Amino acid sequence: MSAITPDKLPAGDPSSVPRAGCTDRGTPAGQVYDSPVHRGANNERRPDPAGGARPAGPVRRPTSSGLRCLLAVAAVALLAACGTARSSSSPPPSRPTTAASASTPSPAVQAATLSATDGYRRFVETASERFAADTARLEADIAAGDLDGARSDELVAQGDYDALRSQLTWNASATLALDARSTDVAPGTPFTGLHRIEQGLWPGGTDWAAGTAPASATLADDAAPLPVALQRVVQTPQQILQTAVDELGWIDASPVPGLEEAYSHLDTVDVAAGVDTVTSVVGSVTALGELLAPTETAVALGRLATLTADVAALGPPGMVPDDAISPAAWRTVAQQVDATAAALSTLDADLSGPATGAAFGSYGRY
Amino acid sequence: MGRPLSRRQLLAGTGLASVGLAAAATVGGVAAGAAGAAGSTIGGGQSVPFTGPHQAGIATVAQDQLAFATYDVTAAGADGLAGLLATWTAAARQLVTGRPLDGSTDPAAPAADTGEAAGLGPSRLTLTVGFGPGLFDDRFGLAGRRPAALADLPAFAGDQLDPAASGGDLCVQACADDAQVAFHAVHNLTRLALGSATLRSLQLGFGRTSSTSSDQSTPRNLLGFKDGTDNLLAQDTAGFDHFVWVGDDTDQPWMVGGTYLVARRIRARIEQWDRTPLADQEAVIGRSKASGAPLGGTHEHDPVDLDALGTGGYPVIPAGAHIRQAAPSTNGGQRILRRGYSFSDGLDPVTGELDVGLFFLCFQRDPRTQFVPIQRQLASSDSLTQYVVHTASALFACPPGLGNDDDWGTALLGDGRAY
Repeated sequence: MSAITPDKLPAGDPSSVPRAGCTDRGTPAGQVYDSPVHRGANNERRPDPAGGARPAGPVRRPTSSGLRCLLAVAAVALLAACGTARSSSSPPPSRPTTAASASTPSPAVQAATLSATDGYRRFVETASERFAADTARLEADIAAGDLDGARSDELVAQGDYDALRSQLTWNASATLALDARSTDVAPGTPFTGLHRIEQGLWPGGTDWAAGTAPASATLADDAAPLPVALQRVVQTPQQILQTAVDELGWIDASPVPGLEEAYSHLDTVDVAAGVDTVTSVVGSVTALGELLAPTETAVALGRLATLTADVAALGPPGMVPDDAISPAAWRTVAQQVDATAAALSTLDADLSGPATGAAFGSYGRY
Repeated sequence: MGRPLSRRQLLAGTGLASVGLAAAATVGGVAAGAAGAAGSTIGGGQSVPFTGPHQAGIATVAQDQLAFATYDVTAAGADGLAGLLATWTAAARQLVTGRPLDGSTDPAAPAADTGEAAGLGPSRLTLTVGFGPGLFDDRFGLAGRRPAALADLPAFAGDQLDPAASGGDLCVQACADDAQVAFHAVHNLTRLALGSATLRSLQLGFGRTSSTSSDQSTPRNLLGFKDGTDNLLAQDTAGFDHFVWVGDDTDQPWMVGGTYLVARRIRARIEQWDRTPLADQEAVIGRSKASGAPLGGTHEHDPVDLDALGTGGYPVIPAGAHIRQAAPSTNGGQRILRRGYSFSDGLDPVTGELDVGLFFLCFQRDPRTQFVPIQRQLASSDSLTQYVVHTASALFACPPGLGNDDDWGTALLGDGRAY
């Protein structure tokens, strides 16, 4: 049985904690997850369990008129919220506000803001669809006894999960179910998700037939609702960019030290996927950044380009064992991660002002 | 996954700070254990009495520097252990006065004292000893004397513990106002232990992260926030009796007047923290960074109102804020005495990032009902956990204070060594 349903994903989980970049103060009493714009009960687009090709190609355009309406309303509210502080009870950070925040944003800024929000929403939606398809294929390959295929599937799924990480960190139960490392799991709590399957697939595959198959079925069930649950992610450009900063922090904290893939020891799959995610996220706000803070944007893009090259130098993602990479190469990546994150966090503050929309509030949580 | 929750959280107890009224002299007396001869001064700094109903270094007004060592006992049998503890005690009585260790003055022989603290004075040095769970295995015949409260700490979600830096049969907490004095003490005790115990871990700390007296201003940790605003204070003797000192209800009478020490090396993801917006940092902690006031308040010691709602009906102090999750009201009213220190151990060899954080030390009457549930709460719900990782852990039973004729083994092993 699936441990996750769309209505389990919202921010109302009392065990969830604020995500980096969010000044959320908790959920008001009585507020519950406002279900996404539904496509219909049977419109979850489960992928071909026999292992069809991974959905790729152009990002789908939004199809929900409700979501379009939400975006429009949010944009209006956003534009009216110029200068709104990030925190309801604390003064805003002491950085000087941009000139744009002192007056009504220009049409170009408005358009870039909406483009950023919509672009990021589509990125999340597409990634969630890919992840759901990956896990279905993984389940099928394990059921068919295809160990090599299952290993490949698991790595692909891990990479696609990494693109969703920042959205799912809102929800502790979902994150634990999908991607807990063995050390993340409290005693007495089931160890499930990608790393449970990784455990079964890599150390010789000793228990993969017995223990991995049920785990993969659970994972596929847990992943299936994500495209619906994450269909309506609406975040401010500032929040969006913060997800990139978060992702970079995670890269240095977990995969670079070799803590993420404890069984396959192929952490480059996470490093590469994380940087790819950051690239996509940054891409969604670049146009706005170039309008509001061109210098800071250029610096951030330059550092990200260097990081991308450093990661490419590690070798093909998921193909090079961690210990085959020199300590110097790992450190180069780690240091460039910090340099990039620092630049992005500076740029992030510059995206406040017109892009700070208190009205986004709860919408930004899913 | 990294962290199962999100990316941030902290540690620190809360509660209603007692209001200290005592003058400095009184504080010193209480802090030193309210017993024993008055401290003497040699060179610079004051000395803290070594004897008293409780070991010094617990209620003592927190010093600025720490050297914390753990040891594995290699001595054969209980006699070997007793000999080590007696030797250490004799040395400690001298060290806390600022005097060099007595011994040979023969130039042809190694000096009895390593010498690096000469002229520095006592610097309020305190030496506090604890016994780890491993001491109660079958090596020393002490299995029957293991307190129930000295139960191994459970695993906590997110722990990344280094076994080599965790645990230990014995610990020595050396605190002083001079780093070299603290190190000197551990250096010499380690030297005296050669052949009887081997050093397992050594952690140096700087900058106390809690106040333990109303005389002290609240220090800041490496995250830049005031830490320990609502800590137990030495003036609150009733609070100490209730939350820190082991009472007559213990299953092991030798622990009456003692306490339990939990040590956790908590590395801070400082680069990640540094690039977090100020408002988010404050939301994670639940306090103003500049003033230390709880969100919604004005001054550091304003009451923490966990029920206050702000704009839009959101809690003024966020659900995951550290001060909420660590608050006694969130943890069944439990409190602990925090006495931790900041540390800096250079660079992470893999990432090149700073290897810094908090060496968390806390004392309590029973870890099973105090530290353990509090830490479980923090591990699951504290926003600060996104920014920290626990890399070492240890638990020790600290015996009660010493009389003039006692040594650190007296309570556990008995005067007649009738263990």
